[in-house]
Amino acid sequence: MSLPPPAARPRRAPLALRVAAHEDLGGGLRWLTLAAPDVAAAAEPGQFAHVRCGGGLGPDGALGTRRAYSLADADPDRGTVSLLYRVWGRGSVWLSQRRPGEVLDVLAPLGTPFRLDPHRTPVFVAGGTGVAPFIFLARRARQKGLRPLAFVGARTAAELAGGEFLAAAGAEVAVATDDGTAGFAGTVVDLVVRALEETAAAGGLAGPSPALYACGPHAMMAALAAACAAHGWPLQVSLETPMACGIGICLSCTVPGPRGPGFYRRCCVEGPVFDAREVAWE
Amino acid sequence: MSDLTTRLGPLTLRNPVLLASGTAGFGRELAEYLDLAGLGGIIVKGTSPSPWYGNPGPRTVETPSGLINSIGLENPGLRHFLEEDLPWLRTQGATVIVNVVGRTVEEYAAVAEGLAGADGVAALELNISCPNVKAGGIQFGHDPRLAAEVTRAVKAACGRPLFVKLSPNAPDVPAVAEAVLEAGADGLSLINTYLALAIDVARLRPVLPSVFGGLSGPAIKPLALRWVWEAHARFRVPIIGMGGIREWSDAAEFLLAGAQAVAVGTASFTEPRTAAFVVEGLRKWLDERGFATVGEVVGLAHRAIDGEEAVPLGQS
Repeated sequence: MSLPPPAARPRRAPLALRVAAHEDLGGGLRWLTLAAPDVAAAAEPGQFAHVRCGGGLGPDGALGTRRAYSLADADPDRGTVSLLYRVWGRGSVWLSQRRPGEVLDVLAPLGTPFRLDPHRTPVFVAGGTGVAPFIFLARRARQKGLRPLAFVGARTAAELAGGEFLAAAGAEVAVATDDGTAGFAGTVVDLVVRALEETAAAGGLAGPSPALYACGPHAMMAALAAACAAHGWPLQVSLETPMACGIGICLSCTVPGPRGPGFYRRCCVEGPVFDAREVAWE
Repeated sequence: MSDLTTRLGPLTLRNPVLLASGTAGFGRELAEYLDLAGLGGIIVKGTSPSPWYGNPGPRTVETPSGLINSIGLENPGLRHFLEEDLPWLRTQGATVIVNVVGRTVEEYAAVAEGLAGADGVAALELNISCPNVKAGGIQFGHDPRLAAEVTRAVKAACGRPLFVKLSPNAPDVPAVAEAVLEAGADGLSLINTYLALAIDVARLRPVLPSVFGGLSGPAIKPLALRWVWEAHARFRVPIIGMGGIREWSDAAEFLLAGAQAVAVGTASFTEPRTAAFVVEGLRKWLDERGFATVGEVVGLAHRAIDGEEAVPLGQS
């Protein structure tokens, strides 16, 4: 067996992507659409884009490391991908000022996507901007003939993000707020566990048994992982850890798993989506 | 057309641009973005006798023009390197330099011994300067006597060209340099990261669980250049220069200060093709300025201030 000469291999490169649309959704949220036909065709739900942002103090004004954003949607027909993000730090403030026509330096798609179980009802559990990957995943689930349920949580009604996008993508959406200003008064984990338990008590879901997919604050996902373990529900989580390179060389974003070989896995390559059982939650 | 070949004592590289240890893994990820055979080589992740887990996160924090890291030398160990990584690197045509780490002199020597019989290891880089592990690493890098001892043991275990990577955090860096050179090092890698701190104002505590980490990136380039300059002036030994290199002109500065080769590190995190761009930029610069070889520019900036002769200007 002989390998082709290295120079003949196709190589990846950061892409120059034009901003096609950029919407202010209110509440500090933005919806950014990039013209990216190749990314739109290749991307899978759960993958992310690594965006070079300005606003830094480096020699060229760029931040020293890229910023990772979940792919919130991909439209292969229009050749676009979209990001849903919250404006809060240097990178996202700079990003929020980009106008249609401007070109961004983006590495995408990166990371390991969700593995959608075709035999179970998809149940999405999102906290804050954790809804982003589920818009894309809801669309993909509907394409595969599945009927996804989405549970979205926030501290208060004003911070509930992206529910309308989830509904538009074909998910049935229920919301929870800690202060009860919208939907269920309590945590989204309490809401989803109660809903699934009640459904089970009433004779099970109308369709197949549930498979859960979650993205949100660590405490939310740790609580959900415990509940899923107790009920025997499969759970995939999309994690966010401080990331530098996004391609697996810096080992910044590692996630601890069960002790043993490969104890730490890279959130950017082996993740961001992990089976909840492969993550040490403590 | 300039000849990019560069000689570092017993080690010859096809060009002066390396990937820095700890910022390129074992090459697989960056090979998706650049041709490893087009670089001077890769200095692989610090390799210990058995696998090391590394530190709990967060492991890095960005600072103005820099990145503070506390990875903790996570690596899959010598055996994995020899069985999986080295054979693959050879299929890529990469020149391989192995960064060697250990907790004790015996562990360092064990890695060197394991590498002695391996085909395709061009040189060793002795890591006595990682600020992020308690045992091993830094204790050897701060004490000239221990540094010499570990250098001697590694050189005895493996006769390959040996570069010792020094810590700028040592109380007396020149004393450590002198000690390792006397102990048999063929050259120096200058420099490792600067001990640094970032505090999370919202959480009222250090960002990194380890409190301190090592600062890399453009912030330390002028500091690294100073050490390369001093080492060249004082010892005239082969030097691999590193610290904040992002583009060809940064690399040119290191060559002019006295390095025969450079390593690109943190910049690969943002632009994975950086090292390849630096090679092309250096090639163009040498051509345009009429330098036939890399050797002609090594340490050239010293001449201007030493008054030996005028630096040739604008010969293109």
